[in-house]
Amino acid sequence: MNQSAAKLLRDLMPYLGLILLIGYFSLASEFFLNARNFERLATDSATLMLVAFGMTLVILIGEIDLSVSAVVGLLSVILAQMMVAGMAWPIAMMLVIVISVAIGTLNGAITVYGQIPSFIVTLGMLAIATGLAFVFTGAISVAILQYDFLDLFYSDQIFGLPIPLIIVALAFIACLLTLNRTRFGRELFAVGANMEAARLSGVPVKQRKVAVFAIMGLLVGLGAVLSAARLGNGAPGSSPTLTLDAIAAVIIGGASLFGGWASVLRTLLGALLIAVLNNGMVLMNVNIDAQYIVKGVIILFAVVLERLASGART
Amino acid sequence: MTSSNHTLPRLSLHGITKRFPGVTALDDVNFDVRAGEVHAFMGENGAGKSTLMKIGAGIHRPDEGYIEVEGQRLALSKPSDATDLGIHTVFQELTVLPNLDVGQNIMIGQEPMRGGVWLDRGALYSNAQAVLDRLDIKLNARTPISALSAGQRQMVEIARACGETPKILVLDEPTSSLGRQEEELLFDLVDRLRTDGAGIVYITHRMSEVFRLADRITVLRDGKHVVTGDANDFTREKLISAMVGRAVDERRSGLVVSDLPVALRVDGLSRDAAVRDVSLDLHAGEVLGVAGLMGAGRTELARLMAGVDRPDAGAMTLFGENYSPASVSDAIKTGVAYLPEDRKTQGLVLSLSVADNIALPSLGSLSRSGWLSMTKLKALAQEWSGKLGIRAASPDVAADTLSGGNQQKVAIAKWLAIAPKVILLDEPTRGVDVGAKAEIYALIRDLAAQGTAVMVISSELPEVLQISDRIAVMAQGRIAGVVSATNATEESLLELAFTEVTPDHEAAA
Repeated sequence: MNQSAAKLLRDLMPYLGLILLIGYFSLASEFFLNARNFERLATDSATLMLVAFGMTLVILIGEIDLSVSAVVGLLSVILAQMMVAGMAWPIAMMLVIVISVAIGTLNGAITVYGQIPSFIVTLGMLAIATGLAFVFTGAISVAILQYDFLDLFYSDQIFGLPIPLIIVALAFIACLLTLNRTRFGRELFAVGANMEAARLSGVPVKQRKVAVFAIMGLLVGLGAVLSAARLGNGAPGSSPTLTLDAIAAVIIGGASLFGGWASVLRTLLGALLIAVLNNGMVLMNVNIDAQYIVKGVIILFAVVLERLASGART
Repeated sequence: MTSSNHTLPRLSLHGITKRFPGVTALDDVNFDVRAGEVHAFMGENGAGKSTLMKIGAGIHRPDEGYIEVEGQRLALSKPSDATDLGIHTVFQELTVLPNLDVGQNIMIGQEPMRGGVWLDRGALYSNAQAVLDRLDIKLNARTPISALSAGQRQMVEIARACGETPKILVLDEPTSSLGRQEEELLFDLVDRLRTDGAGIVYITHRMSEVFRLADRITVLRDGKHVVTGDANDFTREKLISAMVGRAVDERRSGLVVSDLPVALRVDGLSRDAAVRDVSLDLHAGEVLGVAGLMGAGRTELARLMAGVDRPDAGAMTLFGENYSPASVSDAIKTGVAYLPEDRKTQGLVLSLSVADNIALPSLGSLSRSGWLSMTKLKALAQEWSGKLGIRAASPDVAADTLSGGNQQKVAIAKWLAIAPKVILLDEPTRGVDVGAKAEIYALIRDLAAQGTAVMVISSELPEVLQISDRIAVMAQGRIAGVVSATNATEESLLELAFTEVTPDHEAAA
C-alpha cells in the first residue's frame, strides 16, 4: 500500500469502521438498533470515553499510561468501602478523585524527573494498584448501597440525557478547547513532536508533561466514579479491558504513537467504534476471549496503518 | 626521515574526488603515508579531512581516484577491507564499550576460542596483556573500562586498533578529550609506534602537537589539496595561511562600540570544562561575532546566556540588572532570544505549521490567563512571514515542507517575534543557499541598527569578518581575544583560535 492510500484509509477508518459495525450489528442482532440499547451503550462507554480523552493527551506528548484499568479498579474499591463505612457519597467521590489526580501526578513525576519510560512507570503502577485493590477487598466486590449516588450517576437524566453522557460531553468540550484554544494545549503539540525544540523555545516541558498525567488522573477518577455507579459495587478488575480499549480508541483516531499529533474529536470516534464493538459483541454473545482477539487485531491494524501513512515523516 | 623518502608509501590515495548531494567534499586530493612516519593532516572545519579518512577506512567510496596499499591498487568497499589490510582508524568519538573490561575491548571480534564454541578467557586476557605490554601501556587487561579516565580509554582504543601490529594507524583528533599528562602518554605511544615502523596519520587542530610529532604535514582547504611538505619547512604562520588562503570580503565599517550601552555583561562564567571563566560585554546595537574551532565552547557559552544551561560559576547582568535565567522562558521574559545551531532538531518543530512555529516562544504574550487568541496568533505569523519574506504556500503548512533557507527564516522569525533586546544566533546561515544567506546578513545588520544587541556564532571566518563589529575568539572554553573586525584578518583570528591555554594549576606553578 502506498503512503497516500494509507493516509486516506487512516483518516477514513473511524468513520468507515463505525458505519460498517453499526450496519453489521443492525443486521445481525435484533436488539442492537433501538433507543434503549443506544442509551445503554452511551452509559456503558462513559468511563472509556473519559479515559480515552486523557489517553489522547498522554499519547500526544509521546507517553503512555498502562495503569488505568488497575487504577479504576482500585478507586472503585476505595469509593465503595468509604461509602460502606458511612461516609457521605459526595465526600467519598471527591476523595477518590483527589487520590486519582495524585496517582496520575506520581506517574508523571516519576516518568519526567526519573527519566524512566512511562510504559515502565505505569506498568509498575498497574501492579501496585492491582495488589492494593485485592488487599483492601480480599478479592470480593464491595456493594455500594447509597442509592442517591447510584441514581445520580446511572439512571437520572437532565434534559432527557443520562448524566454520564453529560459528563462525557463536558469533558470532551473541555479537552477540545484545551488542546486547540489554550497556550497549554498548543505547547503540548510542540512537546510531543520535538521536546528539545520545545524546551529551547521556552516551553517548560517537564511541568507540561506532569500536568498531562495529572489531567489523566482527573479523568480516570471521574471514570472510576461512573464505573462504580454503573456496576453498583467496587471490585478489583472491574474494567479489565479499559486500558486496551482507551489506547485502541486513540490509535483508531489516527494519533501518532511517537507523539506530536492527536485529536480529541477523532479519539471520540475511535472510542465510539470500540463502544459499538463491545456492545454488539455482548448482544451477539461473543465470548470474552474472542472479544480480546478482535480488539487486538484492530489495534495492530490501526498502528501499522498509522506507520504506513506517516512513513515519510520519520 | 629522509631515509624513508625513498621507500614505497604504505598507503596512498590518488586523485580522490568525493561528491555529496550539493557539495564536492574532496576534489582531486592526493595523500600518502610511509612506514615509520607521522603525517599530520590539517585544515579548517569542513575542509574535508574526515571525508578523506573515511575513504581510507573503507567507510565512503571515492567517486574518482584510487587507493594503493604498498603499491597494490585496491578497492575498499567496507570497513573490514581496511582493517584486513592493517589500516586502523581511531575516531574522535571513543568507541570502547564501557560495560566490558580492557581485555574484552582489545580482543573484541577476535576472541580466542576453544573447540570453536567456548571462549578461552585465559588466552583472551594473556593476549590482551601482551598487546598492552608491547605498546608499553601500563594497564591491566582485567580492569573494567568504567574505572578508566578518558585518556586511558583512548589508550585502550589505540591498543584495540594495534591488536595486530598496525601498518597504518589513523588518529582523528586524539587529544580532544585528554588532559595534559595524558597527552604526553599518547605522544610517547605515537613515538613508539613510529619507531616500530607504523605509518601514522595524525589529524589535529592543535599546532603544538603538529610540531611535536609530525614528520610531514599536509593541508587541505575546501576539499582541495593545498600543500604537503616536511614539518621542518613549516612555520606556524605559514601553516595558518595555507589553511586560510582566500581573499577577504568587504566588511562593516568601524563602529565605535565603546559609545554603545552594555546590554548583556558576562562576568567569569564557567560550566564544566566547556566554558572557563568567560567575561564579555555585549553592547546594544553591535554585532559581536564569536569565532573559534569546533568544541571551543561557543555554543555552550550561548546556552548559558540564554538560560538553557546553568553556569557553575560567574554572573551576568542585563542592562545593569542582575540576570540569572533559570530557564529559556525566563530569558524570553527578559528579552533574550537564542537561535540554536541545528534547526531540524532544536530550532523548529518540523511537523507543526509555520504559524505555530513562529508563535511558539510568544504563546505567553498571545494568551490571556491561558486562553490563546487565534486572531493574534495568525496576525503575528503573517507579520513575520511577510517581514522575512518566508516563501511558504500558507502559514498553515508544516514547516518541513519548506526549503532549508525558508526554514531557517522561520527559526529566526520566531525569535524576532518576541521583540528581543538581545539575540544570540548560533550558526544562522548553516545549510542555507547564497541568496538566503545575503538576506540573513541584511536582517542581522537591521537588527543592530535598531539597537538590538546581536551575537553571532559562526564557523565561517569570512562570514564572521563580514557581519561583525567586534569578534571574540574562543579557544578551549576561554576567550582567547576580542578584536575589532576592521583590523582582524582570517589569519589573526585563526592564530587566536589556536591559542593553547595553560591549565590553571600549571600557570600557578
